[in-house]
Amino acid sequence: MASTDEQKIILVSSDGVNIQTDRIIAERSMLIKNMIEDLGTPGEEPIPIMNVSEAVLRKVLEWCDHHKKDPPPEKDEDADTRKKTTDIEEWDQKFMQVDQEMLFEIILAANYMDIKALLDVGCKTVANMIKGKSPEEIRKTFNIQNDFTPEEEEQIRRENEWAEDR
Amino acid sequence: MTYSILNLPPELVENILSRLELHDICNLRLVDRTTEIVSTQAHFKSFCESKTIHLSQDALAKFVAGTNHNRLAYLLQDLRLDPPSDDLSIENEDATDANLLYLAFLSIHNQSEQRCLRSLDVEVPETETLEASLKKVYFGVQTNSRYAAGILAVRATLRALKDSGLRVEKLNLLYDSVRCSVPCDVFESPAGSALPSATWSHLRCLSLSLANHEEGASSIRSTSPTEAAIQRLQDLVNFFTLISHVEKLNLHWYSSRGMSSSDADLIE
Repeated sequence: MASTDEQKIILVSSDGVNIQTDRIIAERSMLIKNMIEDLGTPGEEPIPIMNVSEAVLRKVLEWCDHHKKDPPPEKDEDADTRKKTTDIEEWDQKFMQVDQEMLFEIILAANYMDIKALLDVGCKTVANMIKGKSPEEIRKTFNIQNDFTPEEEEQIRRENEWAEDR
Repeated sequence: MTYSILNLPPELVENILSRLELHDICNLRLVDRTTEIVSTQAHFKSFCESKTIHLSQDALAKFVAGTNHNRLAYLLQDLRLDPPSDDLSIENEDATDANLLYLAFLSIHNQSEQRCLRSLDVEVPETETLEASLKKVYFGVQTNSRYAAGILAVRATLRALKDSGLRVEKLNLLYDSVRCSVPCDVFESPAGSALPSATWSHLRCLSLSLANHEEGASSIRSTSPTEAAIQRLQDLVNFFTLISHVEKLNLHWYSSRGMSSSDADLIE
C-alpha cells in the first residue's frame, strides 16, 4: 500500500467539479477521513462533497494544504481555553481576508466537513468583527438596517443594563 | 443564497458568541430585531442566572426596569442582595426601596405561579462600631447605624418577598454580628391560619451565618456565639420545626478562631 502522504484522491464539489488533492490534505476534514476509511479504496472513487461549491472547496483545501503538518488538536483544549481567545495566527488572518459571503461559506463548509481548526478560525474572525463595536458600527459592518421602534430599543437597553449590572 | 451571521445554524452562532464579552453581546442585541433574537442565546442567558444586587435605589431601579417586560427575569435562579456599597446611597423618606424590591421580586414571580428562586442570599452589614453616629434613613426608617440598617434590609427583603408571592428554595441570611435578632415574625403564618405563608412552602434550606467581630480575646469568650446566638436561634428553630418542608438548617458562625458550622436536620 502506498504511503498515505503520496496518495491522491478526487473530491467532487456540489456544482459537479472534480478536484484532485493529496489524501493527507483532504484528511484534515474528518468527514473525508471517515469516508475514506468507510470506502476502503482511497483514490479510486471520487468523493462527493455535497454542500460545498467549487470556489469554497478550493479555498478550504488551500487552508488544509497550509495546515497539513499541524499536530492533531489536543482532545480537551476545547471549551475553556479555545473559546475565550480571539487570537488568530498571521497566515490565517490573511487567509480570512475575503468578502463576507465567502467567510460565512467557509465557516459552513468547515462545519459540514468537520474541520475543527478552520471552523475555529472562521468563528474567531467573525467574533473579531463584532468585538468592541457599537451597535451602529456592527450594523455598518454587516449591512443591517435598524428595525427597532424607539420603545423596543429602550427596553433592550434597560435589559442590557440589568444584565451588565453585576 | 447569501449567508450572514443571521442565518448561520444556531450552534455556529453560539460558537461565535461564546468568544465575546457580555458587553459585545449587549451591543449585538441592539443591532436589529433578528440579531437581538439570534444573540440572546445560551451564552448571554448564562449571565442572567445568578445576580448580585446592591441594595441601592439606583441598582434596584435598574433591576425593575430591566425585568419589567419579563423577557429575562425568568432566567434568574440565584439572587444575592448586598448592602449598598456607598453608605449614603439610600436616603429617602418613603420606603421607595422596599417598594422597588417588591417590584423586582414581582417581576421574577410573574413568569408563573409556580416560580421559585433557587437561592436568595441577603447580606447584613457589619456591627455598630462603624459610623455609629451617622443618622440616616433606610427603607423609610431612620437608623443610626449600618447594623440596624441591615436588619431593616432583611425585614424589608423578607416582607417584599412574602408580598410578591415569590418562592425561594434556599434562603441564606448572612449576618455580620451575633447581636442581631432574626425577624421571626415575617415567617409567621397569615392571621388565623395554622399553615405557614405560601412564600415559604418551597423552602428547603435556611442558612444563617453569624459573625463575631468583638475585639480582644477575652470578649470573644464572653460573647461566644454559642451563648448569644443559639438562644436567639432557638426560637427560630422551634418555629421552623413547624414547617415540615424545611429539611435543612445550616448555622455558621465566625470568630477570630475560625469558622465553625453545624447542620441541623429538621425532618424529625
